Order: sequence, then structure tokens, then C-alpha cells
Amino acid sequence: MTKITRRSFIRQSSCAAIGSTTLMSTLLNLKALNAASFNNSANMMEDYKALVCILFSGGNDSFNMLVPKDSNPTSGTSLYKNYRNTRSNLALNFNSLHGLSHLNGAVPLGLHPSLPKMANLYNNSRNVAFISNIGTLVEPITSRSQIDNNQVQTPLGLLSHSDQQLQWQTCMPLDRSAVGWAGRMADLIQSINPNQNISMNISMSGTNILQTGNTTVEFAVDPYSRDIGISGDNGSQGWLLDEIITRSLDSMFGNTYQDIFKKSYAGVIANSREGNRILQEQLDIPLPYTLNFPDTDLGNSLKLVAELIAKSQGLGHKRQIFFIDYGGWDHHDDILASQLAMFQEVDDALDAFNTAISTQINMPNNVLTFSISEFGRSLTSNGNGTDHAWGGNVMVMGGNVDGGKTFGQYPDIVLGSSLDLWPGQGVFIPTTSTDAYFAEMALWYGVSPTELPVLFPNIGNFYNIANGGKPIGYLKSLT
Amino acid sequence: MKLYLYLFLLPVISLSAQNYTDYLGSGHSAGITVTASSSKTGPQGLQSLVNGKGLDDSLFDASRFLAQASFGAKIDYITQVKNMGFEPWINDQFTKPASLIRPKLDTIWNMLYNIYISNGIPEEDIYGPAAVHFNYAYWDNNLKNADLLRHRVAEALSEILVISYNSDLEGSAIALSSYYDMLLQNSFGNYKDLLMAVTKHPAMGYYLSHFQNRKTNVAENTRPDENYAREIMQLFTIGLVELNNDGTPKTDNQGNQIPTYDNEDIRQMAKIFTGFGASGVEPWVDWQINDTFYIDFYAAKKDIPMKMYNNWHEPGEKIILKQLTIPSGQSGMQDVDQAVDFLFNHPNTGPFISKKLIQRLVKSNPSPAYVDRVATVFNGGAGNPRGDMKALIKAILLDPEARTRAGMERPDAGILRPPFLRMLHLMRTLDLEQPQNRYLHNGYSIIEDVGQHVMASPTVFNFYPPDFAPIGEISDNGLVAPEFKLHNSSKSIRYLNSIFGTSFWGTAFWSWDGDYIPNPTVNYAHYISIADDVEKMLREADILYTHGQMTDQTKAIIRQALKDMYWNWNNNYEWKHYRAGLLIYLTMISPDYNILK
Repeated sequence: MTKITRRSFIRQSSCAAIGSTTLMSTLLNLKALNAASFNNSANMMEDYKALVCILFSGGNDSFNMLVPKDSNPTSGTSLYKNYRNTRSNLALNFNSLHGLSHLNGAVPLGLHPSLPKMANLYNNSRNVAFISNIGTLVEPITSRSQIDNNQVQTPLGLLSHSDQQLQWQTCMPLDRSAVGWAGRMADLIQSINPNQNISMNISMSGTNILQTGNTTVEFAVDPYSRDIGISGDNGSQGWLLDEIITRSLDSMFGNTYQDIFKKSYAGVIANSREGNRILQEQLDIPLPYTLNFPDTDLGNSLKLVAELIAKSQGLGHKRQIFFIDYGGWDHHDDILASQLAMFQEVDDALDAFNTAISTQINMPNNVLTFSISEFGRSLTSNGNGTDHAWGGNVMVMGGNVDGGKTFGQYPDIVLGSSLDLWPGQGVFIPTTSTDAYFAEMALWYGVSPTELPVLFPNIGNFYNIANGGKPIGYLKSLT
Repeated sequence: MKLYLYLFLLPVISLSAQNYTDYLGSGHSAGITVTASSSKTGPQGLQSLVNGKGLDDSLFDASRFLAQASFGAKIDYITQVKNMGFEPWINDQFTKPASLIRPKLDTIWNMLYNIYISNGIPEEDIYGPAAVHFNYAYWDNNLKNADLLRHRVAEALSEILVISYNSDLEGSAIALSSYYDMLLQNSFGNYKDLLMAVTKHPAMGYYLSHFQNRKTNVAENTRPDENYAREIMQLFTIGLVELNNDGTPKTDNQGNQIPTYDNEDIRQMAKIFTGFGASGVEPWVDWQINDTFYIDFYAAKKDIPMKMYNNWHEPGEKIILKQLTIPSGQSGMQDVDQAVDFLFNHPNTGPFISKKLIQRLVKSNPSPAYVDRVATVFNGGAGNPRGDMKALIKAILLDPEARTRAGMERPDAGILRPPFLRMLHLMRTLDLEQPQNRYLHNGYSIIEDVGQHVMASPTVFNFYPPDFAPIGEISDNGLVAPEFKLHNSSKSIRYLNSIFGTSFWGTAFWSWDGDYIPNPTVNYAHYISIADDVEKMLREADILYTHGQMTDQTKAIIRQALKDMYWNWNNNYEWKHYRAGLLIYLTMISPDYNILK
């Protein structure tokens, strides 16, 4: 389906979620431990940290975001030529790519023509990095033959939107669980925030899996309306209607209901009522500077994120996780024109966010922005689009990012290679796991290494917890 | 305009409020006639209701039935259905001709077009008919029509066989209305015909990209698009895992669920849905083309089924789910017919579609026995043809689990009403006024407020997955509650504010053409006429909105609010208007209303 970008439209993720693998008892124990250890290490918590997750839902064709750019020979071979042959009519023009100058030994790469600002941050500011050929995995896979010979387990429902979007957010690739890793992280950490009335997990895009824990839910805000509270709910003396409404809401949503559907319905409103009062107080305080963002869905979302980071102290948040679902990447059709427009929106909005965080709010090292998407897309063309695949490429941005580097192994895009899951189909087996990607940011965020398996049950297959160190290395510092 | 009305009303209250605070919360009832309440007050209330005693119970039952079988109705209509009986009403509804969207759309669009022209708007600045005009036609129709059951079923189907104007389809009300009318026309037909009509509809072809889907081209290294192949299986027929007839997943020896298909099956299925293209061109097209397969969607006719271009259809054999070999050499449509027929006849399709429809019409957590009974009817077990929609609808709505109030207190009994349906319900039950008898809702404001409007899903996965469960007691009990995906800290409150607007501002809803066609207003005369009879107001709200399930607790809150809304001042009876508004507002936001049991 083709996305029409329109500010009046909601953006919802489309994850399915069934069942639940409950880690509840473990979590409750850890939570108690955690609160104690955080209390003992108050210094560590003096600083503020935020994660900003942008979900490119639909499956970003990220092998047209990050593209080989070595040479474009007429005869002989090159990485770009292999790419061009495989992608046929969807290959991007060699000269249109923004070349990346790596600070590490990654293969020569270029960025999509609509991402000049990200190329600049990578090449000059050095606060953007990429992780290549990443995807959901149960354990490392180096070659198709391991799968063909049943030597390794693979995730449930490969290539399916619902399953893969779920697994990117839950890190439970063998489950249809609805509890996200950031939600479980908030279960562990929420108690260190002085204010418990607004969840540290704030969503610009409504209900989502990533931020749903066993005890934590997201606090959803709307970047356009900025959620102005409940009409009439101000209890002001002298306005009879308002007095009656306030009192009635107190009774209706202060009551507990035996029926669990009614209880859940009322509970959400009661929490929101309280949270919005605090939110509104903060949003009413003017910032000492003007935040300049493009007037797009992503721009407006990141603008409100920036403001809530600037006001984190007033909100009583030492830790925040933000979620934005920027959808419309399911490009079975019309991929070239659509990506051209959508990457430009990404480029402009992320660049504005970087400016706001680095120069206005001045907390470059405290905020880590990262992209996710349920899968990369088939390297082969279906005529004017691509279909669902597996491995893809993601982007991270922030002062603590070891920028100007591309991590993981960027594959040689040749059909039939040992990573081509079904020879000739162009569905590439990922060589870096989502677990390692997220574990590194979790460690920075303050999760202790021994707690990583609570968030990422299979992390031991990708990272030696006992040895320590960085799971991938895209962050400069883990503190 | 909103603000103006609100401010206009408020000063009246502020004048009177001062001499009023002394009895806030004191249960002031002087001057208020309290009629004998029904036999359902007091601790025995719920019990007597469950037992089916009491004067209003058959009315409550009819109202509850209509909450499942329609978008809701006023008391006169509820009374008619009560007198008629449910099955005769359903039979009667089956005979009602479909009130289609397209004719309404044409009328409204022509009217607006002429108004624009006569107001001097240049022709090139006139845009449409687009999604907003589809919304106009949809609302205008659904506040007047008689084919209530058909429209309720079509809406449910639109949440299963999803296309959306949250896409480039936004530009074509012709495509949208044609697709919706196709759903309406097949709602009382057969699911197989419906599935074929969906497959061949250009709007679906565009939305899931099998319009102009081409056969493999080895030289160009392209292969068929897999989008429709995947979703017709995952969402429209068989789902991801093998099911028992009662909708529960089958398991293998190790207790694992069994996938219905793998990616090789998708690649095979993708070959089937190649070769579809335009059947004709828009009237404005003034060019000629040799191979009309190249006519793009923009130029194509959007209200007639796609055409199969055999030379663009993948040749050769196709293996369907490793079970059926479709031989080479057939025409494209023969391939499509065979594959769709295979999916329609797959043992999963009955329970899969039956459960989804129950979740749309009745409840979130049907018992396996209920799903089994309905799926058996889908399978042809009641002497009906397999896929017979009339039999299926009766099986769903007349099943004891849908009809009886027994077990109503069980945790798995309820459904959070879909927010779009709450909006429709409210507007269908209020007395609306509009001088030209035109009720044009832009629809977009509802999406912004509550996240849902017919044909505006964010993706083909609908507004909420059928297995979504919010954390807390619902998921702890192993239950699902899909609609809770839209009930978060933002949307839940915007729903309250939206109801607040209708209750106290007087304007029912807005079009984008209010300069030319006045927006409908709410006439509260009826409630104002009974405003000094709080118990009567409560009873009517209970019939219309909570179907006899308004708890004593909720009644007490609303009763107190209504009684508190009073002043004794200079023959000013504005308080009656506010009582009416409070009745609607507090009822509509109450847990008793929002959770339909």
C-alpha cells in the first residue's frame, strides 16, 4: 500500500500480539533489587538519559538506504555493480548516492539521495552510525546451509509484518508475546523516576508493543493536539457545569469496577487524567528558545519529543523512552518515488532534532536516537516494488554514538550467495542480531549486564555477558 | 464557532452558581419529581434483570440486540423490533434493498459542485469526489437508511477485507464507494463470491498492489509481487496457523502450533495473482495505448472489476499450499478461480472468518463452542451452502451466547465498543436537525479524536489486531480486547472531549462545506421536556445506551449530577438544557456504556 503523508492521519503500528510469555515473577524480584541498587548508586542516576525509537513500519527497503558505493565499472565487477545487477530496475544511480567516509574499515557505502543531512552528520559531525544487515535471530547464522540442515533455530513467522514487527519490539523470536523490551526495561527502571504519574515510556503514536511491559504501559500524547486534558475538568468554583463534571469524573473514574473490561476502560482514563494534568503544566511553560522543525508528521513528533526532553526535570523523569511509528514503508509498489519523499522527511526531521538536542537543549550525550523496521526487503524487484525479506540496515544518532562508522558486515549483494536464504530470491540472512543492537543501548541506559537476559532472552547467543564489553561497539561509552 | 457557543452558555451558569454551592453533593431534590423507579434499583437490580423480570426487560433486550445487529436505534424503532421478534426482523432485513453509497455520493457531489460553481469557485480549484465526500455520503446514508443489518455487516467486513483511504485511495471516492457497495451487495450473499469480488476489485488491486502485477521476467530479473498472495491467506481466509473448527489452534506432537503456509507457498500463490489490470479508462483519458495493461491506476476505471491480461499472467504450474496442483496452460482467471476456491474451502476459513465476525458484532472472547457452532454453519452444516452469509449472520446473532444475559457477569462477556461505532450510535439516537435534511460528516475529525473511521484503517491489519490484549487483568486472564488498542492516554480523553462537544455545544458534527450546507444541530427538546424527571431521563438512557445494564453506581453518579444541575432563578430554565447534555455526556463516557455486554 502506498502511504500518503498527511498530518490529520493517525499513525498506528500494526503489530499483532497474542499470548504472553510472562517474566513477571523474575521481574518483580529484579525490580526490588534494582530499586535498591539504584538507591545505592545515586550518582549514576544523577544524569539524564533518553532513548528515542523511530519505527519505520511496513519494512524499510534499507538496502536502498545504505548502498554499496565503490565503483561503477562497465566491465569487471564491483560491489555496486553486484547491487545494480541484483536490484535491476530499482537500483539507485551511482552518482546520486551521498558517499560516506568511514572511520572504520566498512566497505565503501553511500546514502540514499534524499539523505544528504544524515551523510553530513556521518561524515562531518560524526554522530551518526549505521549497523548493517541486522535482523531478528535466535542464534547466529553464517550460511543458508545451517538452516537447510536444521542446525539452527530461526524466528517464528519470518517475512510476516505482524510477527517480525512484534519480534523487533519484544526480542522474543520464538514467541507471539506482546511485551516489549523497552516496556520490560521500564518495569525495572520506572521506580527511579521521582514522578510516577506519567510513564517514562512516552509514545507519539499511541499504543505499541515496544513500550508495553508487564506492569508499564506507554503514556500516549498527540504531537498535533498536544493533549489538552479533559473538557470541563477543572473543578473551578463558580462554574457550575465544570464543578459537576469534575465531581462526576472523580466518582466515575475513581470508582473501581468489578468487571475487568470496565475496570480497564476506567483505569486508562483515570491515569490519563492525572498524567495530562502534569503534562499540561509543563507544556504551558514557555521554552527560552524556538524549536524549529519541519511541519511533517515525523517533524512534529520529534519536536514534541525534544520539548519533553527539555522539560524532563519538570516531568520528574530521569529516564525516558520515546516511541514514534513513522509508517508507510511497505513498498510493494512505487518504491523509488515514495522513498525519495519519505527519506527526505526523515532527513529533515532528524537533522532538526539533532540541532535541537545538541545546540538548544544541549544534552547531546544524553539522548540516543535509533531506527528500527520489521525487515529489509527482497533485493530482487517485483517490477516497481520489493517484497518482504529479513536482514536490513538501521541508523543511530547522538553525541555518544561512535559516529562515522558502519558496524556489522555489509553483505555483497549477489543472488545465490551463502546469505541468500532461498537462492535467487534476495532474502538475506541477517548477520547482526537485534538483541546485540538493543543490549548495547540497554547497558548504556543503566541495565546491569546480569539483567540483560530478562530483556533479551537469547542475548547469550550473541554476547558474552561475563566478558563484558560492548555487544556491537556503536556507542562510545556505556555510562 | 465551537468556542463561541460554549462561552455563550457559560455565563448563565456562573450567575447562578454562587447561590448553589451550599447544596452541592447534598442530594438536593426539592422541586424535582421523582417518579417511581423501576424494580431494578437496589441490590437486587442486576439479579432481576438477569432473570428477565421487569417491565422494560424486553425493550432492553431489543436495544441490546440492535447494538449488535445495527448501529443503534431510537426507542420507537427498538419497540418495533421488540414487537416483531429478532429472527423475523433479521428475515425482514434480508429483503431490504441495499442503500448504496455511490448514488448518494453522486447526488451530494453534484450538489456541492454546482454550489461551488455558482459561488464563483474556478473549476480547476474544485477537488473531488475524494474520501471526505465518501464520508459525507456514508453518514448521510447511515442516518436515514432502513437496511440496518446490511450496513452493520458491511462495516464488519470492511474491518476484515481492509482497504483504506489512509493511502492514495484518498483521492478517489469512486473507488471507495464502489468497494464499499461491493461489500454491501455481498453482505447477504456468499463468502466465496465476496472473496472473488474483493480479489478483482481495482481498489483492492491498488491497495495490495496486485493491480498490474506482472509475471516473472528473467531478463529484467523481476518476479511477481507477493503482497496480495500473503494477505489473502493471512487476513482474508486461513490465518497463520491451523485451526480446529472451534477457532483454537491445532498443535503437533510437541505442542507447537502448525503454520498454514510457508514462504514457498507465498511465492507460488503470488504467481496466481498476476495479470490483473484496468478494465477501462476514466472519461477524461484522451490518449490511446496499445497494451491496455499499461493503463495506470489513476487513469483506470475504478468501479468495475479488474480485467485479466493472460499474456501478463504467470504461465506454468502452480502448487497451492503443497496440496493442489494448478496445471499449466489455463487462463489467468481459471487459475484465480481455482486458488480462491481452494482458500474458501480450506478448513481454517470457516472458524477463522466466523470468529472474526463474532468479534466485530458481538464480543471479544467468544467461547470455542460458540465459534464451533457458527463455523459449522459457515461450513454448510445447517443445510445451507458453504459460506452462506445469511445463515452465518443468523448463527452469530441468534446464538444463545449472543442473546442470553446469563453469564453476563463473566469476565469474558464483554467488548469495548469500537469508538467509530459509538459515534454513529450517538448520532443515530439523538434528534438531529438540518434544514436540507443533509447530514454531512467530514469523518476526519473522528479519526483525529478516536483513531477510527470506516475505511480509514492505518494498514491492512485493521485498527486493532484481533488478538490484542492490554496488559493488566485482561491479558492476565488470557483474554483479548482488540479495541483497547485505540484506548490509550491520548485517544481515551479525546473521546470524552468529542462527546462533550456534542453534548454541550449543540452542533452535532461538522462537514468541510459548512459555509454552504449548514451543519446539523442536536435538538434536545425531548430531554428538556422531561428534564424535571430525573428518573425518566435515566430510564431512557438505560434503554438507548446501556440496554438495562446501567449499574446503580453509575445511576447514582448521573442522578447526582442531574440534580446538582439546577437553579431557581428568574424563570431561567437553561439548566434543563444542561441536564440533557449531562445525561448524554455522562452516559456515553461511562464504563457501563463503553463495555457492551
